[in-house]
Order: sequence, then C-alpha cells, then structure tokens
Amino acid sequence: MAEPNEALVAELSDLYWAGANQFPLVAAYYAQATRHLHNSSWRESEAFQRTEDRLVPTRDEDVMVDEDETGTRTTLLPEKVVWERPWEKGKPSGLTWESVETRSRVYPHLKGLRDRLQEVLGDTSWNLQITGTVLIQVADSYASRDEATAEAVRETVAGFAQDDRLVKAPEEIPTIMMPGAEHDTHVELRESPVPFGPDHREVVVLDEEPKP
Amino acid sequence: MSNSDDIMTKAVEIQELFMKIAESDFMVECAYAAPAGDKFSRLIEPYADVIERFRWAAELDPGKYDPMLEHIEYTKATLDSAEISDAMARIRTRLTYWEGNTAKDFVDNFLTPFDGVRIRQVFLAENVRRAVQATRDIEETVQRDMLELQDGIIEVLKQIKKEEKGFFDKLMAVAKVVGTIAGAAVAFGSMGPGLAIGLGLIATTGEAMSLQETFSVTVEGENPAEVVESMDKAINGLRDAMTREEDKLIEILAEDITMIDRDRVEPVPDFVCRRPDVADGVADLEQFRPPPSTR
Repeated sequence: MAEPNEALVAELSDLYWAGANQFPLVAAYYAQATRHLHNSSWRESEAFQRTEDRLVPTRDEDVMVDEDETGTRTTLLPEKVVWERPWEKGKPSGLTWESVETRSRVYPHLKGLRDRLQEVLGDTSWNLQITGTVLIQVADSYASRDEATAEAVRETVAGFAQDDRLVKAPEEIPTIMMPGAEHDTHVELRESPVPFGPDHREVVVLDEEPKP
Repeated sequence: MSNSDDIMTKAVEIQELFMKIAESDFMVECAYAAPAGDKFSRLIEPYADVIERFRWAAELDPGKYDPMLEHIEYTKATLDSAEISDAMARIRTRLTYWEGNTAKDFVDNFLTPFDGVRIRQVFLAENVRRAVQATRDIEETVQRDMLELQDGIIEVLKQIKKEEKGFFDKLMAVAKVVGTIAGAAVAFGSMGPGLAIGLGLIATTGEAMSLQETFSVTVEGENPAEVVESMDKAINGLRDAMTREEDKLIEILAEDITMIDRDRVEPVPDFVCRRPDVADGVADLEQFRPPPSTR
C-alpha cells in the first residue's frame, strides 16, 4: 500500500472532524437557542391579556349572522361596536356593556416576529446538522478513492477524538423546538407561575399538577 | 405596593372625594331649597363609577413581561456565544486546500454567508427583545402617568372641598380652585411630558427607528362636574396616547416581519444537494491541493 499524502490526510481529517464535531457543536447551540426562545412564549398570552369594555347587542337587529361550512357566527354590526367607556358615549339602546378579555393589539405582531425567528433558528440548526453529515460523506467519499489515505484519515480522526484539547460536540443535540410545540415542564419550582431558565437549560415551571 | 395597587387606592380616594363634595353640595342645597326625593341620588350619579375609570390602567402588569425578556436574553446570549464563532473559525482555518465545485459550493453557500446570517439572527433576537421591552415600558409609563394624573385630580378635588363651606363661599372659592388647577397643570408640564416614551427599535435593515409619543394632560374645573369631565378627557387622552405608541410598535414589527419574509436567508442547501458522490461523481483526490512544500 502506497504511503498516504500527509497534507491530504490532514485536510480530509479536518473535513471529517468539522462534519462530525464542529457542525454538530454549532447546531447544538442553535437548537438550544430555539428552546430558550420557545420558553419565552410560556404563558405569554396571559402577559398580553387586557380587559376591554365593549358593547354587546341585546337585540337581533344589531347583529349580523354569517353561516358557512364551519358553522354560524354572530357578529355585532360594525357601527354598533363602540369601544369607549359608557361615560364617554352613553349606552345606545339595545346594547349593553360587558367586560371582555382581549389581548394587546401588539401581541399577534410580536408573536409573528418571535415565531419567525424561532423557525429560522430551528432551520439553521437542522441545516448545520445536515451539512455536518454531508461533510463526513464528502470526506469518506474522497478518502475511499485511496485505501492508504482512508486508513490514515481514520487513525487521525480517532486521535482527534482522544485529544482533550479539542472542542467536541455534545453527546446529544437538544431537540429543536418550533413555534407551537408543547413546552417542556419541570416541577421543582412549582410555586412560580412564570417561566424560568438558567443558561443552557430550559426549565419551565408548572403551576399545575405534572402529567403522570 | 405595586403601581396597580396604588392606582386603585387612589381611585378609591378620588371617588370618596367626589362623594364628599356631592354630600357637601347636597347639604348646602338643603339649607336653601327643599330637597327632591331622589336629589341626592342624582347628585352622586356622575361619580358612582369613578373607580371603574381607572381599572384598565390598574390591570396592566408590566412585570409579566420580565420572564419573557429573560428567555430572549438567553436566546441572544446563546446565538452570540464565542463557541459558535470559534467553531466556525476553526472550520475556516483548517479547511484551506480543498478545491473544486463541492468545495466552492461549501465556501460560497455556507461558510462565507454564515457569519452575516448569524449577525442578522442576533439582530432579530434583539428586535424581539426590544419589542417586548417596549410593550413593558409603555405599560409601565402609562401606570406612572396615571398615578401622576390621579395626584392632580386629588389635589384639585381637595381644593374644591376645602373651599366649599357654603353656597356663597363656594362662589368665592371658584377663582382659587382655578388657580390651584392651573398650578397642577404646570406641575404636570414641569415634570416633562405626561407620557413620553423614547425607544429605539432597530429594524432589520439596521435603520434606527424610534417611538416617541409626547402627551400632557390637564385636570381642571370650577366644580366636581367640570372636574369629572376634564378627568375623563385626561384618562381618554392617556389611553389614546398608549394606543398611538402601540400603533407605532406594531408598524415597526410589521416592517420587520415583511423584511424577514422577503429576505429570509438560510446558509446551505445548494451544497448539500451537490455532494460529489451523488450529484456529479467528481470525488477526485486532486480536488485537495495541499501546500506546495508538502506535495
């Protein structure tokens, strides 16, 4: 078997190492970032909750009824919707004031931006993982053209794995959390009703009984 | 005690002041005219729901946003960590001599744009944080301004109450009350705009945008009915100012979302699709060109 080219072996080994360690390492950070961001959405709808006083109809002629395949919707006629308080406009006949739970108008927009960022980070993590895998295949593909090179690459990469000075990928890449996914839960700090999370861990605190 | 508690405490105090003044009016009028059966009820009717006028501000809870901000900070710190920069730098410096189409794709479509993409992502995370912070700041400022407004209302009502010793005294007291109200109005002005929230929200293009809503209110009146009217105007003005600030925030967020949808960039794909042993069979060791001294 011919002697392998040392520089070529070094380059292929680095390519393999990048695919097997450096890319998964970066992918893990991105996956963790999706989890932190996901935790920011824990009970967020409550944070944005508002109470509004609105007029609701007491007469059939003040509402319009839409029927389609999804069902029947009853909506107050637009001209009957008055958001001011009763002492500002008075109470029109046929309508009555009712306090209703709504959400801040900012909420859907902020959620839209945050969700997009979360999707982007999740996509990037996934892309990094795929690219790492492809780099390994690329290194394997090149090395397989020459048995001596392939053997030398394998030995070098095994040496990398034993070298404590080299930064290595975590054993497991955290699960990417996309918008809408169920939140992980942790019950040790149950007295707190809000999200909580130290670096590199996601600890979402439940204020309800844990699932069996 | 939280701002929310303070607002409701002051709301109760305001309501009580209105009621006491109404009682005083009732007593004065009883002394000079025969009372109608439901006169007292009609007198206090405008003040019966004074407390409710303040409830919307008391129900705001800026502290609810703190956990969200904390997690977004974690996100930013994770994305911005040196480990990612170091890992990508190691990849760049160690993969120097790989050539050919696959290598070019990898460098052009992944390595080169990656840092720029990451900067945009950190930027975007910062924008999300700023938007939540802005929402929090708006609510906090509105509550502070409401407390200032309530102090002004209480001051004005106390002046009216103090001067209402009798029917004729009341006429004499009008000018003093107006004077006190003018002083209260100046006090609002001198502490700066009643509601001024300055925020710099950076759009994804890097262009700085700012939210700046300036708002001032005055409570005045020669009698409780006029005070309650100007108080309602002031409360509505505060609420409108809050709405305008939120509108600006919504506008900025919508712009960011549009930009993301339009320019969404992900490092990758072409390279992944063209691995040498799958796409074109050019897995050739010659594509690695070690430094001349070692060849």
